[in-house]
Amino acid sequence: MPKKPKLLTLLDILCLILVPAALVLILFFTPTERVMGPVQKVFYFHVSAAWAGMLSFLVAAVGGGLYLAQRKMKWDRLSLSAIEVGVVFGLIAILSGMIWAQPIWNTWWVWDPRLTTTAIMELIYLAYFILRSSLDTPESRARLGAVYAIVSVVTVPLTFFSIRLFRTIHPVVIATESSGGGAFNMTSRMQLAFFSSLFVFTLLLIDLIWHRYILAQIQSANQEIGI
Amino acid sequence: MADTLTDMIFGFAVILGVLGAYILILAVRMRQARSKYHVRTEKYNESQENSSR
Repeated sequence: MPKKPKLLTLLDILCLILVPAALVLILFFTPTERVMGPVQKVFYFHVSAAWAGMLSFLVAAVGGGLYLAQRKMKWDRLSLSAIEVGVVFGLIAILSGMIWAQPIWNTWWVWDPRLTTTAIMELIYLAYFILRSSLDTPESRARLGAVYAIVSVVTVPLTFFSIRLFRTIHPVVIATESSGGGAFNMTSRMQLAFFSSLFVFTLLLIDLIWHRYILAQIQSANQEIGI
Repeated sequence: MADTLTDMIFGFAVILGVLGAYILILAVRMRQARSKYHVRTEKYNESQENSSR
């Protein structure tokens, strides 16, 4: 049975320290936005969760590609773990966005291109688990799961660029000169909290995927023993 | 400035709540999988010993 690596324990401790630290940074260090008020502070974790979710889906697609190339089950386990964790982060991004939208847009949900593509992305990745559960052998689950992970990654750039491709009320966070109006003008303190949150959520993503990967290893070992 | 303090608290509660719930579920699943592994390996070893006798 796989043992927990020391590096993972270190990562656990780091996450246990850094997530509350990021929260303290957001609550007490960043200025309160002039128009939206305190609810704008949700933005730091909202964007970080969306980033972690999308990154996770990219990892899943890479895992799927490597499985198809090498036919090693470790890549299927990575793909599965990344999608499960990605779905959780996607859910956090959607829920926190709804809570932010309610007082600002005066509605929980609008069929805006960014919101719609995010919802589609989340549903597509949820369907991945339905697909896997409908297949009998681990090999077919791995093969079709890999193909599905690669095909569905199309939704990630579509979601990311939807605010640049279509007319939208969703703000552009990472702005360039060409993106023009609607972009966020962050102060240096806001930028520090924002990039810190992105870093912390990336670490948390690695930590959770790693834990889920170990769980997948134990589960497949259980299947092998249970003859 | 809009008074949105309650919304902010709700937002962070949901974010940390979902994360916490997932971590808890993951921990429970891990514990179950490990105990299942131990039970199965013990049974497997017993059956191997019995067949060798």
